[in-house]
Amino acid sequence: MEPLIRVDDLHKIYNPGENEVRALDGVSLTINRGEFVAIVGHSGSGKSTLMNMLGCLDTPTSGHYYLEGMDVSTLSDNQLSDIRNKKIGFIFQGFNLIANLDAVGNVELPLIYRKVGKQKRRRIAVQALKKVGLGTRLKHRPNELSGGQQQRVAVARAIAAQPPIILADEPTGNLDSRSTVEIMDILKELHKSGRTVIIITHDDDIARQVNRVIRIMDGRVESDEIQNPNEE
Amino acid sequence: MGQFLEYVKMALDNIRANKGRSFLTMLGIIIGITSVVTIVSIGNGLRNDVVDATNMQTNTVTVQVNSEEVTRTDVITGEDISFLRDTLGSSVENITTSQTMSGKCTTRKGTFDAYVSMTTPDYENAQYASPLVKGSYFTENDMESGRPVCVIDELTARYLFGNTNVVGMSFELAIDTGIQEVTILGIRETSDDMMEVEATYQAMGMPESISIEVPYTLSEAFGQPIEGFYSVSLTAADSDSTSRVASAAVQLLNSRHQDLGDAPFMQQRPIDLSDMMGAIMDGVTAFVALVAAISLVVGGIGVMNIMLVSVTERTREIGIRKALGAKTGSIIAQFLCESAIISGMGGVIGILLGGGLTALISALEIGGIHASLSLPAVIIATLFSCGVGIVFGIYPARKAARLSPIEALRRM
Repeated sequence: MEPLIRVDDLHKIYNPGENEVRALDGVSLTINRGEFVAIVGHSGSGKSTLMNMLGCLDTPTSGHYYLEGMDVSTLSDNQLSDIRNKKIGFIFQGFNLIANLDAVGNVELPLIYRKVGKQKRRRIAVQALKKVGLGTRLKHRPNELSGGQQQRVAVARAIAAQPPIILADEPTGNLDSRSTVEIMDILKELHKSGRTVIIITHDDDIARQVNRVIRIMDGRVESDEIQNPNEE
Repeated sequence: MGQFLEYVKMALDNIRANKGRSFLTMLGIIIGITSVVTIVSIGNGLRNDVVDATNMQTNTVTVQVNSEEVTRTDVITGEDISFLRDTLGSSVENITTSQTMSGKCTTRKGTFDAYVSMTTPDYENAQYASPLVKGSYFTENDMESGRPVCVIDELTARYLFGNTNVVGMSFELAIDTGIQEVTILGIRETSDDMMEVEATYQAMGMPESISIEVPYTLSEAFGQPIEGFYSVSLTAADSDSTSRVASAAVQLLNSRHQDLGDAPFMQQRPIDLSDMMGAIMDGVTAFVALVAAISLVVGGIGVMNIMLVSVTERTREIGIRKALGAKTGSIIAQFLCESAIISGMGGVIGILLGGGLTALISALEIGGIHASLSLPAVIIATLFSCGVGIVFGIYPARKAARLSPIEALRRM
């Protein structure tokens, strides 16, 4: 069976020519459905560039990226928008919620761009928020919520559209330890319910809690290990 | 359509979230539209006032040969005029006609060039004619027998004889090669105003204004018999029936002269002062509206500026939306909706304010103006303000849509 993600000799070069920066320098990896993966690296290692590629936010200079068997490395901006909308649920370090929309409004966003009708959209959003424990905060705006709660809204937004991949970029980077545990618990829960979860992080504590750790250094895969997650 | 409403809702949410700023952005458009609507309405009102004033009802209308159909100028005969008088009866007070010829009159004082009006007894009370001050006008009998009699005005009497006590006196009148001794029956008044005008003419070295009225039948004696007239003026008994009298006269004359064509006669259009003034007012209104339109463009640039600021401020929001699947078109639609709604709302508020100002000016009769709201101005203002929003919104919207999601998310 075709793996969910297959990356083949991926290169990303900024400023080609003099002073060129090889952010990705021949990355190849495969991620199957249902995996719980951490992509770990220091800042400047190329992990963020890899995350942009995997999230279809950017296109590689060379190489191929097959998402569910489809080569997405050559698609146009608008096609990539479509792929992001349907295949990927993003969770960002900075939450990235829209300030003047309430929790439901934020969770609805990907569904709006998927042209889901108003009633259905609202139902899905409320359900997703209940799932992350924010059933009583539906009408709150981001500035009325704590950091942990905001990140839970973001998680609800990522799962509402039922994408095959949850891509979390330093999801706990801005959170206190209690909220970190909460968010990680939710991500583990998602993994247990069969979702593919990819976390990009520099934090080894986070990395210890997943099934597979891919270490990136200087734009290359340094190691790729399966492990038994350390339940904290 | 459903998707379009989503963008409208997004735009409204954002306008609501930035009420103060949205209002300030609208202000330029509001002022522009208010001034356009008010100015055009005032212009409209002035125009109506001018047209009304120049369209003052008169009792007198002139029916003339339709020169597009008939080339002859001597078609309305004495019989036609008698017939009109008999048929129209008491609904007309007066039916006059005349034909002017140039002649020379000679007295002890010398020989003068003169305008000779060949006319009928009704001419005594022709429109704008001054009253008789001495003697009497010539009669039907005088006309039928072609008696060599005339009526002159005081000014003419002074030129010809040096004084105005000249009733019963006579002088030699020459037209072309014919010469006749004519006797003065009556003297018309020359108003002081006319005397002043004449003095001015004299000072400019223009010839003396000598005018003589004679029965048209006298033309035969000069070897220039008048067969008919080009036009006839009818004075209705009351001003309400003027147009009825005019169309009746046109019909009657048409039926008596079917040999000349289908419609050889028509009502003479008075020199159309109202059209002219209307055109001038239109010009002034258009000019002032143009100035106001410039303020709208300035308002539009204000909208563009704020939208550009908004795009910069909301870079992250745009990044989030794109990351979550918004396409270029979706972002453009959202931002265009926002600028169109802002300027459209500004337009609506401007129209309401402009309408209110118009009503106020009318009610208070400021400067005696009866401003009246011009519907085309309202419609154009509405379309224009939405257009301004869209046109000036395109640049910021495209700028927003072209942001790369990674760049946009990286900020902050």
